[in-house]
Amino acid sequence: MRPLSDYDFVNRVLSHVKFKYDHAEIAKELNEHIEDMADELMKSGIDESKAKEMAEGFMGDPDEIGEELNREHSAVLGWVWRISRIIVIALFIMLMPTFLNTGLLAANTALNVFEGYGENEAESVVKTDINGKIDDVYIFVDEVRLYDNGNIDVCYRTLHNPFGKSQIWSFSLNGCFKDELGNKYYGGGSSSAGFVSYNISRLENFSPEAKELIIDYDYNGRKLYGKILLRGDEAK
Amino acid sequence: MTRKKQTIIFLALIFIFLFIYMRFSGRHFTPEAVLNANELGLHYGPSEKVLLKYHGDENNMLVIGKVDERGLSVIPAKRSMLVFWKLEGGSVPGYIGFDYPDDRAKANYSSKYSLIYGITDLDEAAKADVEVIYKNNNMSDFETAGEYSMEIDGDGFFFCAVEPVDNESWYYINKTVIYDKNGNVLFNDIN
Repeated sequence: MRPLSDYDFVNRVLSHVKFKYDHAEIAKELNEHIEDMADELMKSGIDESKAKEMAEGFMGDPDEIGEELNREHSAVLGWVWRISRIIVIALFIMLMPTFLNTGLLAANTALNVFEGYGENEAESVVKTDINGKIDDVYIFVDEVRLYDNGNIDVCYRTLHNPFGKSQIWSFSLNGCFKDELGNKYYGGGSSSAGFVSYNISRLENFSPEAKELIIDYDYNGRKLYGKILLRGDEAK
Repeated sequence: MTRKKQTIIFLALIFIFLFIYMRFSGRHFTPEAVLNANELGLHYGPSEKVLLKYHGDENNMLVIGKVDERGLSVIPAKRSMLVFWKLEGGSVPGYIGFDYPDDRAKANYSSKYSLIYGITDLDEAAKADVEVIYKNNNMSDFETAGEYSMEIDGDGFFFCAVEPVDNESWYYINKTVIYDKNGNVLFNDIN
């Protein structure tokens, strides 16, 4: 194998450094140091070959310097550094689709927060403060929009804990709506994807005699219950 | 920056990247973890125990857990990048429970895995007979694919691998009969 330096001093130093991947860097630094010194000597009139020989001699004991550099360029740390750097680069490339997907999800979430529930064309709106937590999902029922044609929209946000233990599935309150008269409403509507999702459940033909909307989620031990007064003097 | 500092940063980045990858792409180290994560995501369970890990081939598996005496948790898992497991795409049964309050058993059929599985809450249950029917676009009505008999274990769980008639038909459970150890019928359900 071709030596990394023309100087015996440098090659002897390198023979003590076990982590071979640092040899090129060490050789370059020592070569430059010797040549800088030789340049200074040549300025005082010494010829080139003599100057280089003298510069090599001024560098010191190559064995001592080699042992010290070997301690500084630990093979263990060197290997860990090298392998971890390769793994980081490989992971970054490999996981790019996941990062992009996560980034899109985060961007979508930001857009959802900005847009909210969209334009409100309802005749009246009743604000609510019903909220709860189902596993890793936080639910906030924000408002109910009432329309003249008897339909109502239940507007609620869901927040999936991105650091929770659950797989992220969409969450819906459809099928959990009824009124105080016992009528049940399934609901259908829209929701937005993202860690924060804005959902609208459209309940058609809500009873004109009913005054309360009841949210009654009861599924496999998970519960969320709330009453919203829609009509009457106490309705907000 | 020293090599030591760089190494610490690299190791931290490896940990962060792996966490992001596993968390946001639904990867786990075991099929049981896939089961648990999806139970929480679908808002049921958690399962008391894993009853069956049924291999389709070496890279996919149907994981069945016991939620309670009246319900199973059924999640298909798939190997990913050699060391991880994730939810397998396609149909996800999730929670399979008794249909009505009077029911005492429930059997289901997995077309992908050609597997009958079910649960009963009858303490004396010892054997289950299940009839599977099938139909495809070339048939005017359902026909019997087979009748299968299987033992019921201490958890009330039963399962049986079947050989499907073909891969184009739809398969359903038509009849489930539960017997005690003496052959007496404890429960009979015809769909």
